[in-house]
Amino acid sequence: MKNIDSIKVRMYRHGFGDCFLLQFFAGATRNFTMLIDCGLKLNDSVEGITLDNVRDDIVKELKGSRKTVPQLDVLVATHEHWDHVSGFHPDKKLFDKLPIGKLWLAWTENPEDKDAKVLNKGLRKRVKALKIAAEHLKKKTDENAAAFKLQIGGDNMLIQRKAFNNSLDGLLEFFGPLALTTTPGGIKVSDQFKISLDTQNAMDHLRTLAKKGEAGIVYLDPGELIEEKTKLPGIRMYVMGPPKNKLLNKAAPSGGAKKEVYFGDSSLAGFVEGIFGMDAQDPSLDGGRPFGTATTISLAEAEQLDYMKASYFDPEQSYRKIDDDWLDMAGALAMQMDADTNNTSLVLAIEFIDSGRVLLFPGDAQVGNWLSWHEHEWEVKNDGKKETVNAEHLLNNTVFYKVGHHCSHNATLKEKGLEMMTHEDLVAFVPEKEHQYKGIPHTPLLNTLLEKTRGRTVVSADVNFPAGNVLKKKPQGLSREEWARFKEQLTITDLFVEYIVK
Amino acid sequence: MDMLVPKTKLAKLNKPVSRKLRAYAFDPSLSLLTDTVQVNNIVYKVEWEELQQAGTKTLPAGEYIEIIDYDPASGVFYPPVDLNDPYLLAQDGLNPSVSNPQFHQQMVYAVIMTTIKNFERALGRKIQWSPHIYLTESNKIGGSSFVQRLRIYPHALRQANAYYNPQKKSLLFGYFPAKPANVQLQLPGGTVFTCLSHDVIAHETTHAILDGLHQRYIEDTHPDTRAFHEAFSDIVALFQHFTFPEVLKHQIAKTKGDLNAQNLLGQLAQQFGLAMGSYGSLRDAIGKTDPVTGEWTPQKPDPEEYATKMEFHDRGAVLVAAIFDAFLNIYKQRIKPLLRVSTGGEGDLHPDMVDLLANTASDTASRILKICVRALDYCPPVDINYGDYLRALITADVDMVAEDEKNYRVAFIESFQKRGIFPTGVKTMSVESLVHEPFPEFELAEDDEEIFIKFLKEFKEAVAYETSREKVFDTTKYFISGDKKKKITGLYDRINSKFILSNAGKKFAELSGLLFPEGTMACEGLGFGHSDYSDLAKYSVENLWLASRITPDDKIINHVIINLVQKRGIRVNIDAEQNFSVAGYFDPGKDKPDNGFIFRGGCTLIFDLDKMQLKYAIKKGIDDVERMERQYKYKNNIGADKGEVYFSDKTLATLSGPFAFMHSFTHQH
Repeated sequence: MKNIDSIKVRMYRHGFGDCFLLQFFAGATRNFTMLIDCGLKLNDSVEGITLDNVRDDIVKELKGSRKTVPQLDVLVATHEHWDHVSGFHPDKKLFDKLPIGKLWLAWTENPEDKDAKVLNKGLRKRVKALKIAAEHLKKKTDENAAAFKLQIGGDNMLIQRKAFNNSLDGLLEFFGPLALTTTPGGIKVSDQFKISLDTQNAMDHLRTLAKKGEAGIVYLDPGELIEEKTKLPGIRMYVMGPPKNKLLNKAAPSGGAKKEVYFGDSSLAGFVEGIFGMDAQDPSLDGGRPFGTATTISLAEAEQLDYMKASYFDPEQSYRKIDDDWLDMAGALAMQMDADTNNTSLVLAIEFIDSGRVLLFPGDAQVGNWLSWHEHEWEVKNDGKKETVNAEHLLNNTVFYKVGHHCSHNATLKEKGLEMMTHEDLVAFVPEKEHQYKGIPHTPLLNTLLEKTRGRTVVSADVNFPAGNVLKKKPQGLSREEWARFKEQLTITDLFVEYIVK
Repeated sequence: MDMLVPKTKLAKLNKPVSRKLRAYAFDPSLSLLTDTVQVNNIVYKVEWEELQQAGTKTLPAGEYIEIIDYDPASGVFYPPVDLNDPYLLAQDGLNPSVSNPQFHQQMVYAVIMTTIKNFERALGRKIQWSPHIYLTESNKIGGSSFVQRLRIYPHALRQANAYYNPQKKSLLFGYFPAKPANVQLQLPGGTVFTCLSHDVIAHETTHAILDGLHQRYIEDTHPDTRAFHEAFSDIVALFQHFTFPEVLKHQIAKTKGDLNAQNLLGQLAQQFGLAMGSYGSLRDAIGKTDPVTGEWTPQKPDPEEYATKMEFHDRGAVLVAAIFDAFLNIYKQRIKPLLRVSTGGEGDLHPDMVDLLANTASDTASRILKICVRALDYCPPVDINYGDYLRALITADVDMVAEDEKNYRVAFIESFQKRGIFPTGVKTMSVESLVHEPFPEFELAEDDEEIFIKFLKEFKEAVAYETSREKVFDTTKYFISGDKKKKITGLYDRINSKFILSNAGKKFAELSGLLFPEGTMACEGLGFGHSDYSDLAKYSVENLWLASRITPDDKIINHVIINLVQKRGIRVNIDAEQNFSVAGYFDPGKDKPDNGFIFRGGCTLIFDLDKMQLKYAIKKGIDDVERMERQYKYKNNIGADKGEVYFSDKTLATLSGPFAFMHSFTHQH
């Protein structure tokens, strides 16, 4: 049987979100198809390109020239973020008629997995707390708007306060729409949903679709090797992440071993408890209080004390009150949760056995996930000879890199990541749109990518980095042959960018 | 029998000199180890002060601080500790305890007051908190008002963080459930209180004191500015810690004669910071412990460090390491004779030897602390960088100690040089070229200078013996602005008439690095606001300080320090190659054009009251195009790597002040 010798990677340009269609060819015959994610950030769109358009194009491609029933061999959902899975929401019914061979998910999505259960339970609780905190801060901002005006720089403070609240909302949008109910005690988030009802529904719907089509759901563990001799001859897939250890919580780059000491979830536990305690009607709730038996003075009592009237409750010094300052931790909490979820990304390295060339799809993996790749070794047989493959080897041979997390600064590891991508044919695809998040794309990273790929970095939907520009002029670093080959292998339309990896 | 003694016969007691308060030397975690428990509980001797009365009790509120123990996340207040309670006084304060919030207040009080007094001893004057800027009815800046007390909230936050909020003039401390790196040191599931760590308290207090001295240092205008605030705060915490000889004695005794000071003290410095997560990271550049062998090795300085480490924790660590390195070298020199006379035999060190070594380390630390603090008076008022600080260190020390017999200055220069820190515009790294030029040529008409210095002497007389900080504040303000109604000319008018508009005006502009165009047109054309009080470009007198210090050889130094700051509106052009050029200027008081940015220059003028002369002029030029370019590019992230995601730095800085997010989770690596 002829080995797979080319993979067509199609990146859709529908906005801030991931959707990649992969078609595996042996010569002119398509042997295998794979869809990695299909999502769009909440409240984002590109004019003239809807997810319906994307779906239609996928179905059309999957039917192929033979116009038969479309067949998707594998659907991969990398992680539970709206900008990666919104296309699978049951209301949208986008892929309901598409037969799916297998559904691949990370071990973190396995309802039977003990660690995954703990992880998801914690995440659920924190999203809920975050939503309450965000709503409370918004309410307080409105209440205090007049007081801001009386302070020096107050106008700016109000603007920045609102910007903070908006950023919180923006981060919550990664989790998809969150339902709210208002109770007499204040704001409450519905208990029933997981991270976000809609995001969870999208994930559940995927499972339903997979089951309906009698496709198996495969939960992948890091360190696994996937070989499919009949459908994928000549191809090996390495499962790199998500990690099964503490690196799952590691969000940002660091240096030195000591810095690995992190407080992780637990340092925020008191904060989360405090938020739940805030609106609690139940006085028996501990609410994360730090002292067991210490005498306390309630707020109402304190307001009656003369010395408190002259200090904390002195209207002249009201600018020094700290009632809500502790809630600003919501920002850090949101970022940590975002990173935690990103770190549950299923990471696949797809290798052509003959040439050793690799396509890397890291989802939105952040630092901890990247670091963990280096803890694995894969045993493979090359020409009957046993060999071990490690992450460095795979990174060295990466010729196609789906840039993680829309090119943010903390989702492409430097030393043990991008710097190891030394292959001269490296091409990078960035699914990203302008003005969605502060700091995305991270320009220095984008510049490094341009440098490493010698101009062969293509962005999906950012007006500041139009995809079409890539083909306009030969980048200086490329030879004529390289330029000709790149042009031949790259197709750009309004709907997608496609690259044939050989 | 009448046992009553006539009233007049009662022995009259004087106020005690100090208030003794027990507290942790490190933080509670070290009290869990039998090895360190005996050195962890120490008695702080805090200068006695009257506390505010509330009925029959006193509140933890004195001249400088007020502790308000509100825990908003728990929705409760913890009752204030009465530090004058006779039972408390009789036992040197409450017993150290994690579970007693009143003890927390006591410890915070003790450490903050210790820190304040260390500053005052070094500076030779009372410290002031940065003033509260208030608005008028019409939303214009009304002026600045005196802040009597810094507010301390020991349980304000639920996070592994503590910070100084410059808007609220408050220190906020957090607490959080521990997830220890070392289970031996912290109870898993127990609560860690940042307000129980000496180093965290001293660090945050220093932020507040530094903000009171140089209000513009919180402006992020150079990769060094924020890093400096952090590093300096850490340096104070670290060396203050080293001034407790009891802690050092214990460690020195433990080493049984292995006196490689580098390892011993370096390791200790890092241990002090260890328990508090990212605070410790500022000491990373000192050395590291091998995770496998547990062996500590000092970090070799890298001459590329200063040029390459841009993240402000890393950058802060470079300065901390530089100062610490200087300290070690000085200490090593000082103990050389001690080591020569010691027999160096087997077994434990002689207790006297332990005392000698510990006292030397503690004395050296205390001197370094003083040098570091004093140098602040010799720094420019805006845009500080490490090179400026080195020059300030050297100049301040030259003023205090004429002959550098113990080579303190050489030690500083060497350790800065090793890390690639070179001040701009200095040809060689020697004391002679680093020290600011004393008594620069300034050809004033003789009576002009005399009249001016006489005025400064009047200022000295007015504040030198004043014990009320509020009066010092008011008097200073009065001396700066004068009194129009009473026709009393203030400092501002005197600078105008005696310097700027005198025959030496040009020279003054050169010395101060500021520009003083006359007339509305000229001002606007050069990017300055036009003063409401004179025909000159606007500038402000930001500080007026008296420094009365006694040198180690018993000379008295009387300096008056004046900070002038000027604001300029610059229109910038950045071409396709990201080249910077000045396209023009705008009045910074008006709306900022699209390509506009506000640029500040300033100078520190130090007058010697005894020699009746201007001694130093330390400047950051308002017309320095190179500095404009660097600052513009830095602020706009051109050609740099700031890596912010989701929340802009500006948003975070405005929320709770720039310090809130420096140690917090988001920046924890």
